[in-house]
Amino acid sequence: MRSVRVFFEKKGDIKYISHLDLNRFMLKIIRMSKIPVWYSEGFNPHPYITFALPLSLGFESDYEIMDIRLDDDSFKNEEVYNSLKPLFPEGLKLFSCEDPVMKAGQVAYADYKIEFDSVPDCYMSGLEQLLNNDAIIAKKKTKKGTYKDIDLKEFVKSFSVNDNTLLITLSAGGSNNLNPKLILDTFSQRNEIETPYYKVTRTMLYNENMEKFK
Amino acid sequence: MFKEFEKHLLNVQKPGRYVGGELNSVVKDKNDVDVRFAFCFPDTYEIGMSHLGMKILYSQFNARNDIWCERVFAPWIDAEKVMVENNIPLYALESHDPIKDFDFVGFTLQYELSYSNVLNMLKLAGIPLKTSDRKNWDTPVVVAGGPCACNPEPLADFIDIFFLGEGEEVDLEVIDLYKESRKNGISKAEFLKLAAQIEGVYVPSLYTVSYNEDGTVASVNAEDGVPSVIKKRIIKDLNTSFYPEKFVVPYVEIVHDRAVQEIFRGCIRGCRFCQAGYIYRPVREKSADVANKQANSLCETCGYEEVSLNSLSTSDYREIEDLLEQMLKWSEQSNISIALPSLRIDNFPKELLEKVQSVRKSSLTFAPEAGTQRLRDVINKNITEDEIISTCKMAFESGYTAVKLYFMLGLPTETNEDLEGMAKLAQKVVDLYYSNPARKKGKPVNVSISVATFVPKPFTPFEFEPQVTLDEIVKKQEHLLSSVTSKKISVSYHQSNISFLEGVFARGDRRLGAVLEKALEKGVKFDGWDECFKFDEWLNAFEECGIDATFYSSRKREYDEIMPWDHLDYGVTKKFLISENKLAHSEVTTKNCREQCAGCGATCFGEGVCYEKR
Ligand code: SF4
Ligand code: SF4
Repeated sequence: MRSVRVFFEKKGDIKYISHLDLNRFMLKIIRMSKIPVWYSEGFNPHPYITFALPLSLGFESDYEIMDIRLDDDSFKNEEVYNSLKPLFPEGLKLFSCEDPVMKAGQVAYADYKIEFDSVPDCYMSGLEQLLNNDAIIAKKKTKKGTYKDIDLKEFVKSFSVNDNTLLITLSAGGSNNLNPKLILDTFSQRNEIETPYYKVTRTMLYNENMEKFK
Repeated sequence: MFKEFEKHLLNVQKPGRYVGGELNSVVKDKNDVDVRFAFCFPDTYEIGMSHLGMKILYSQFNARNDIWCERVFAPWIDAEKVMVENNIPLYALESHDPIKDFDFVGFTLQYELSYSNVLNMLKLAGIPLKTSDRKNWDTPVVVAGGPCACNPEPLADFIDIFFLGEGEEVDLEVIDLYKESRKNGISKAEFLKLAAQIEGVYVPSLYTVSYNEDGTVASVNAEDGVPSVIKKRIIKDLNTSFYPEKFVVPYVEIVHDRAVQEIFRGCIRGCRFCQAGYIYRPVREKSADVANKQANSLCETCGYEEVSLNSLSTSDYREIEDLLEQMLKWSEQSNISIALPSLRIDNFPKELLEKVQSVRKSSLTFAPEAGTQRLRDVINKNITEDEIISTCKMAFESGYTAVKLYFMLGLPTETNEDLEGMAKLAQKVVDLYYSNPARKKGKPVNVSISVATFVPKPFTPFEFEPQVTLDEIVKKQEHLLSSVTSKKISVSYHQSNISFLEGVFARGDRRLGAVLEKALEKGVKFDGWDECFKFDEWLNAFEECGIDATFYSSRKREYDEIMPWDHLDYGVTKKFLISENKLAHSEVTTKNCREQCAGCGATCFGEGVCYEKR
């Protein structure tokens, strides 16, 4: 039994497919591909897959990662690639299938590109100012459904603002994840404005040392 | 246009329903095709995507190079609001193009309660509702088929062409005629008249209905040169007829996300309340070999974990054991489970049964439909208490703890005794469970009684019968509840108002078109959904149109009354329906097609069970 790490992008209309739905869909593709996946034991056996970091509904991604557990160790990565490639539909482009280098739980940062359709310059400069603050206290919904104050700035590793685009690197992963939407929402709330239409692309994932997640 | 909608997509529930792009969905270049067909399912994506008929026609149309068939579903309330506010017309999922620019807009009519959605979808598309406002080629040809087309009269004002019976052949014939008509430059009116010559095609605008003073139909007159009786179409040989090799695989979770293998059409049984049992006659089977191959190919191409056999009364399939044995050879190996809906398991090899049902072993369902043997004889429901009890016994011994019993309330000749019978039967099942010494201690049994209100339907022996009134329903429900004494028995109902409306439209005539339009103005839609159903608005619409809804629901029809659907021929003769109605009232059952032909009239199709050796 071994794992193979599958790299792909999620672009276009398929961004409206939730993480859960994509997960189910991947299971179907894997069945169709007939690659020798490992099936969980028990009442309702199913293949075992994990995603490096779930992607929010509506976000695109240049760098998606899914691990598949194989039953047959002699089955090569290249064979996995060739079996999956024709089945990946439009919007999900398969890049490669590799041996995992880092452990699945080691994602620590993510790059986001946030592009606004059309915004006044003052919006972008205001956003920049906000991000330049030493602290950005905001309310975040907890798992229990209550709200607590958190400092968004603690999650911001770096950022830059150009024209209509915000590039930002945020803490990501299990314990310390920040959705960039929360920054935009906070900005709008403080200024009592409506958030203009924007698109988010997650462009890269990193480990703790800001090394590309592989 | 879709770009505009996209800006709001993240504010609606399950946006994946509105974008298309699923695996196996068909995208063509619109410049390469002659005919664009918008296949509309007047309900949500999740329901429509689970529907077999749509899958068959979608694949069949798209198998032709000159046709591009796309899917359209009713947007849920939140998405509709966004579309209306932003002037986004109803579009097709594959191309995102507005359907008002298509050649054909086709609806499948699965239940009467979707009629308001049919109209609402036309409205959202920006297509004029009425046939009379769509006389030119600048609007699509609006067609409809499906079981409700057997009495399409309430929709007669809005639909250009109805397809009666099974659509696979007739749809394509009409599409071919359309192509030719456009090429020859003839008018839409001429095209419709030509279409009406095709067997199975009903063009309601070519027929005029006149009424008697008491409101019943006096006559239905066809225009010159148009057939006065329209006969439904059937597919003669299911082994050679088209069946999809793959289904569109949805991302969003739908009601039934699995491979569906059709094994036969029609039903031999003739339960007298059941429209499906009559309008799909005669029974035609697919061979086990063909069904097995098709099911296997579907599972391979779509990655499903489950395959279900599709038919009415599945255990009547003559090759069921052979088929299951063939299927198990590959399904077990690939971890695919086989689901068998509507299976009578009494005389079924236990070994085989365990293999196919190993997945869900929680609940056992029966549809005795009526509480006493007397009433079951009236409705010709061939299931006895002994059968239920012996099957339950078998099931309890192998670990089941829940039993569901489906009944109908308000059947013709029903008395309080019949209602009490439901409770008694449920109690017997409870007692049976506790009489099993080997039962798991501490695990209580749960018997649920699910009650639907009986709705008399066209082309059944009960088409003459009055539907029980809303007041009567309440009384009957109360009586049933008071007859249930055990806490192990739960009772659930459908909303009776909804059944009432269903009853009105099921046996309605053309005059209901005005009511539909009026109700649409009042914002009715998704009538089959409890949370959307606006009964008051419907009542207002009837009142404003001066139409008494109970004329259609709770009025008894005489045998010689002309029904609004009498000019449609589904094989089953009215003479037969009358004789069945009489037998019902004398509590005499009729044998099923395989035991003895009852002479219903369906021999006229020259195929199927009528010609089997008995
Ligand atoms: S068995 Fe009876 S209820 Fe079931 S489909 Fe056949 S006729 Fe209808
Ligand atoms: S003609 Fe006879 S065998 Fe054929 S469907 Fe009717 S009752 Fe059944």
